[in-house]
Amino acid sequence: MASYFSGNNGALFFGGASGTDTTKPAGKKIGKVSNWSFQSSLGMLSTTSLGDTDETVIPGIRQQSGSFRLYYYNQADTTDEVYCKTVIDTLLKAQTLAADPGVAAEHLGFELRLQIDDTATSKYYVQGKVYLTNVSVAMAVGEVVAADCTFQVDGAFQQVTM
Amino acid sequence: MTTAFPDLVPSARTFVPGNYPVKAYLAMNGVEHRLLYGSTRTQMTLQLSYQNISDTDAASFFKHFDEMKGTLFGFDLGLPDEGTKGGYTGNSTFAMNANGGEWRYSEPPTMTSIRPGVSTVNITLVGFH
Repeated sequence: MASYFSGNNGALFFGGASGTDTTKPAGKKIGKVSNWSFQSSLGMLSTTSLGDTDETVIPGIRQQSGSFRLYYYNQADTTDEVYCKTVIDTLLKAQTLAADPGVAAEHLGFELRLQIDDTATSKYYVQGKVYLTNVSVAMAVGEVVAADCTFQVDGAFQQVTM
Repeated sequence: MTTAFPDLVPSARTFVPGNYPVKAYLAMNGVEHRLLYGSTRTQMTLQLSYQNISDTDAASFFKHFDEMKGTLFGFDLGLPDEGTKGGYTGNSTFAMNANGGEWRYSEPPTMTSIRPGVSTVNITLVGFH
C-alpha cells in the first residue's frame, strides 16, 4: 500500500549486535533521536580534451555521509536501547595520562542503521560502518541540550533497502 | 613494425618552441654581438597530460615508450589537428617541429592511478634533428 512517512517512522540503530527485541534486526535502537539524514554522492572525473567545447566526464568515487541529532538524555543504556553518551563517546576520548595530554584512546567506528519503519515487518534502511567526524553539543537557555553529529561511511553501505 | 604514438587528444598541452643555436659575445666596449651557429631550431619540448583515460589507453603509451627503447629513438606525431595536436587551430604547421626532425621521449612517462580502470598519464617530449 502506498504511503508517506514522517518523523515518527524514523529510527537509528547502533552497533552490530542486536538487543533482545528481535523485531530490530541490526543493533540497538538509539534513543531520543531528533532527526537524521544521509547523502550519497558521486564525484566525477573530467575527461575533457583540447578542442572540446563542453566538459565530458566519467564516474569517479562515491561517498556516503550523513548527520543526526540526539537529545542528551541522562539514562543508562538498556539491553535494547543506547543513548547519546554511548554514541558520542565513540569520538570523545579523555587523555590517557595526565602527563601526556596529546594521547587518548582511538576513535571507534560502529555500525549505524538509518531506518524508516513502514509496518512491523516492512522497513526501509541503509546500514554501514561509520565514523563520527564531528560532534557538537550546545547548551542554550530555553533549549534542550542535544548533540549534533556528522558521520562518514567507511566504503559503501553494507545494506541498502530503500 | 613499430607502434605509432597513441592518437589521443590530450587534456593539456604545453609547447616550448626551443631556439636556434645563437651565441652572444660581449665586446670590451659593451657592444653585444650575436652569432647564428645553425639553420634549424632545436630543443623544442612538448608536455602532454592525458587526464582520466582508461588503463588500456595508458598502457598504450608505455608500449610505445618501450618500442622506442625509452629515450633512444625518435618518432613522428602525425598530422596537424590529429591526436597530440588536436584542438589547436593555429597555422597548419603547428610549428611544433617546423624544421623537420622528430620527437623523442625526454623522460619516462608517468602514470597516476585515479580509480580502478582510470589513470592519468603525463609525457614530456623533446624535438631533435
